[in-house]
Amino acid sequence: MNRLPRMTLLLLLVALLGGCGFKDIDKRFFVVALGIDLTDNEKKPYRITLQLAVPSPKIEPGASMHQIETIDAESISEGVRMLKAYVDKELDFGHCKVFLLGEKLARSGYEDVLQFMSRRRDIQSVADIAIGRPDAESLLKIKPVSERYPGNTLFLSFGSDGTESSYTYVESLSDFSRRAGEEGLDPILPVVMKDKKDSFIMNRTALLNKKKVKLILSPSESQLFNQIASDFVKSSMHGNFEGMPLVVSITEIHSRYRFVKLEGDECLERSKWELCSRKRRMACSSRSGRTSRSS
Amino acid sequence: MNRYVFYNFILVSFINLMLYVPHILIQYRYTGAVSSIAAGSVIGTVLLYLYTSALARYPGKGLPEILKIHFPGWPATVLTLFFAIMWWFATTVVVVAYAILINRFFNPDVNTTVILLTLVLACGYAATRSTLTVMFVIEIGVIINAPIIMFILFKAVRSPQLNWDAIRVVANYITAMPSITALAAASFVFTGYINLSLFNRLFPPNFRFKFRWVYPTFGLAILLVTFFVPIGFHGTETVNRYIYIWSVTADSLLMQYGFIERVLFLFLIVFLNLTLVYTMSGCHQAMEFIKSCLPGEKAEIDSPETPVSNYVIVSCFALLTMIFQLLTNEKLNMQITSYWLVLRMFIEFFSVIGIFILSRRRSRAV
Repeated sequence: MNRLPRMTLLLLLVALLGGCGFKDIDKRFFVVALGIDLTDNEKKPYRITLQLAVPSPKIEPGASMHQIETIDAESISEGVRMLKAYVDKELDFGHCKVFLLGEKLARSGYEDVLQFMSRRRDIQSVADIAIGRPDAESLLKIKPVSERYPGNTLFLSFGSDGTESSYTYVESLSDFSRRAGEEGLDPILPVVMKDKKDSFIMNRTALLNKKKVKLILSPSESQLFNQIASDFVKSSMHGNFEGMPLVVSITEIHSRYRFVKLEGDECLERSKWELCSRKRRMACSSRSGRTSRSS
Repeated sequence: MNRYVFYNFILVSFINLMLYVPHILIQYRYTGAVSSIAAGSVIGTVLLYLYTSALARYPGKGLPEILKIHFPGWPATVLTLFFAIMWWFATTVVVVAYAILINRFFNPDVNTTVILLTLVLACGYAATRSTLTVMFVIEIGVIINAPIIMFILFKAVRSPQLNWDAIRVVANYITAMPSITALAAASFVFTGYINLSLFNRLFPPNFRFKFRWVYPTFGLAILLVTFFVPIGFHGTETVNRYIYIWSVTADSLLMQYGFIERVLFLFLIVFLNLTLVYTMSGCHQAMEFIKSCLPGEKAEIDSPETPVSNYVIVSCFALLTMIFQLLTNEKLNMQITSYWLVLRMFIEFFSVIGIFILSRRRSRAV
């Protein structure tokens, strides 16, 4: 009999639980991509574009549906709050894997945007971040023909799940915020452009300083950068070998660098670069070269 | 039986993340954290060896019984009560920090007090069980959670995102003199042996401490990972922006083919388990210390019936923890924790040396 009152007490405790604060999945709007642009309006400088996934029973290429919501606001978090009045379901950033910064914004200063993204708890630090050219809004409105899930095309283009291109530099939010704060490192972001049809091109890389974009590399420079900085292997190289045109598929890349101090404050970066190809193993040693470049 | 020593050690060395140890060390990263890690591990190792050799002379006896042998009535009682407060406070800090963490990372709409109440009720009930049961719960908790933590740590160390240059830059500040707060934080990782103050009761008379070199090695490895991996992930400068540095570091990791992609949630659940187990163990030890001061109380390791005094004492602890949470905020909690770490280091230092001397004197007398 001693057990009965105890169990009753335990069951009564359950009544204290107020139900969880979580909302059901059908009461949520999953944001799959967020774009931030700069407007010309000084009072409302940020244009926020949310790509919201619309669940559909069909999973086949081209069946993905998304809803776009756009708002101009004074700050990003305020804009997101205001957008809640535009939709019927709770906005959830838990699945937001792609962030696009408009080129204009990236050229004028990214600090506020970075603060917003690294402080919001439901934004993943592993999300990909890129610069949208000419602006993020028009890129998010694209509906690619082959897309199976909303927002999947952009997401697959980054990372190694889908395509792996030697021209695309992949930047995560945590790496971006590290580079923005660290001494001796500067942020690098890929640039996404719109094709004439409904697809994306991402073969350029932007080099930034602690505030804004300084330089945008051309596609071939972007590839060279990927090969040197992140030892990106799946790439090829072409040139002339004893008067014969030659395309070599690269299987191994090693890059090493060290800083050599010259007189005064000038520093010289001396880097050594070694490439290997499976088919022409002989060529690999002759391919190693020495480039020197002042930094 | 040596595994029981190891469980206690492993539990405390993992729980350092909840006591803001990484954050404190990272604040001092240019001003003595690295040398504090070196000095802290030496201090921790020496104390561990001293304490285990001292306890080996008192088989089956806990700290209260040892004090009772050497001191007459009231000084032993005062000391034991003081230790009880130290133990209770450690659990309070950990469980309050976790309640805040749930609010920050799981659901910001939830009331911290309600979460804390739930945690404290669960831990409090577990703490009223007998010493042997508590030890078994620790064993189960560590066996289930330690592999997952090792997996996360391994994944972090092997991640290509880890920037070894930043780690090298910070490691080069080893010449900076250690500071007292960083030293206290670093030596906390090695402090698991102090839980033997109570759990020594479980060991049979012929018990020997074996493999003692494992503890310092393991502790040092955990400490280095705790300190350097966040620096490698967030860089030498950005790393100081975060208070819950390891939660953010776990969030920077990706388990592409796991059930859940975000490592953060796995990390939080595992640390929920560890926090509950640690709080239970700490509360139970504090409770047993207070019980040993009551007149006519005999130390029992596995009593068939739970004494009423258990419930009364643990309820008092739970109430005090709730009051502590209501009176403090996050910032104050962190500050108090860093003071508590320093106080703990000194208390531990003197009590371990004291017990060691007492144990030698006794052997000479006998």
